[in-house]
Amino acid sequence: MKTSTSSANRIAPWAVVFWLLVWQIAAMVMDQPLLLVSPLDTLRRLAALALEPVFWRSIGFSVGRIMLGFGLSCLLGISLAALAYRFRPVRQLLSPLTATIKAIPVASFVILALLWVSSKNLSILISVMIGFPIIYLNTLIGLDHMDPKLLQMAKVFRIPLGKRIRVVYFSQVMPFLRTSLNVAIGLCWKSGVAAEVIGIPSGSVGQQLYNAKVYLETADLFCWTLMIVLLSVACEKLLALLLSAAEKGALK
Amino acid sequence: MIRIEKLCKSYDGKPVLEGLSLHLEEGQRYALMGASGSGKTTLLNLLMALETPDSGLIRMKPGLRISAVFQENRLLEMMTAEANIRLVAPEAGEKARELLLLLGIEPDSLPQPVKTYSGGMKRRVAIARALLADYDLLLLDEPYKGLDEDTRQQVIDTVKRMTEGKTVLMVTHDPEDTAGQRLIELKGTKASEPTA
Repeated sequence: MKTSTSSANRIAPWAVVFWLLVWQIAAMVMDQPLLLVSPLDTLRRLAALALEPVFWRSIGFSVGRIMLGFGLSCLLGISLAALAYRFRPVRQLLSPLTATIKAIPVASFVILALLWVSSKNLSILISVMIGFPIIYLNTLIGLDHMDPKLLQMAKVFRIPLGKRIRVVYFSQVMPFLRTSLNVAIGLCWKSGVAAEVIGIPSGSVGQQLYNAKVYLETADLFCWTLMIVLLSVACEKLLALLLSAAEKGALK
Repeated sequence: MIRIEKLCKSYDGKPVLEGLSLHLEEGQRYALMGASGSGKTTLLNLLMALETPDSGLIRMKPGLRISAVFQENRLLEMMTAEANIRLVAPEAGEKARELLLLLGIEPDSLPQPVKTYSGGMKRRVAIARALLADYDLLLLDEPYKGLDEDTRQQVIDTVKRMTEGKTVLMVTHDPEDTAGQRLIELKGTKASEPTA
């Protein structure tokens, strides 16, 4: 029987339960919480951490900065892609820059960026560096793939520029944009937290992870990792909702 | 209304139109016929300024508004039929729905995006869009191609009724579609004088 790609890729609850059980049994068999904390102990520790104000302050610190970086990536990526689509010299100018940014390892970026900005704002810069080329290149590919016949239709019917961008362009670029934003938001989280672990800005999730490593608080390490995954997924879901609402609004 | 003078257009050195001259009068309906490759669609594209002539002139009334049914439907597939019409005719309002129903689009299909429509249904949406847009000149490129026999006559009658007194240039291969229209034949890169 054929199933659609999206439903085939959806995570089945039974599979989650299975892997949680494997994790629990492995932790029980090893019986070394320093090396592997069980899921139950992780949840217990998470409940305790959630009662501490510093837990929420750290989350607020990192979410705010990483999402600001992601927002700036969107702004830069989409607007520069529009300019590159319209003006060939802009495309030529940005081509080596995006290729270089894509090739440089995150760790090199982080160490270099620490020379330019304070560790406090490091995750913003790193999120932009990681998110921008993905969004820029995919938006540009989307613009290049627009159907010229639809653009001609818009011209013949004298559809005003604002409406033309909102409906004719947006609807065709949307599939490319949606994919790139999904990938970029996940990578912004990964690279943003990695930057915080290296830069150790005070009061960040990265600092909490670093402390957990230094003090061999394995349960804390698992808790923070779980929180990062949950936050990243929550941001992805929120983004998907926003994109659907934007799409509906534009095509109404 | 439109005067075409010594229009030439070639592709890769192969002439499609060579010294074509034509006068289209306001309020007249014209049927443009000719063999495949005789330059009918090229002429429409030149009138819509989608292509530029190699030489020659197209004189038009300043600010002339064009509406068209293209050879392909050119609809935004993820939008509904009504949204496609509103995109080019924001003032159409309830008229869009009425015309779509008149052209045989089922009420159940109206909330669905156009991508779920059959080829014939999409063609009717493209026709409705062209009819409801504001225009001084309506260009129709084989508008009835792909329509089912059941709805074809209804569509032809509606187009005729709604374009009464308007300037229309329609490309067609079917002599039956030319009734009540002045006939222009494209032959060997040149156009015949429109019939009276």
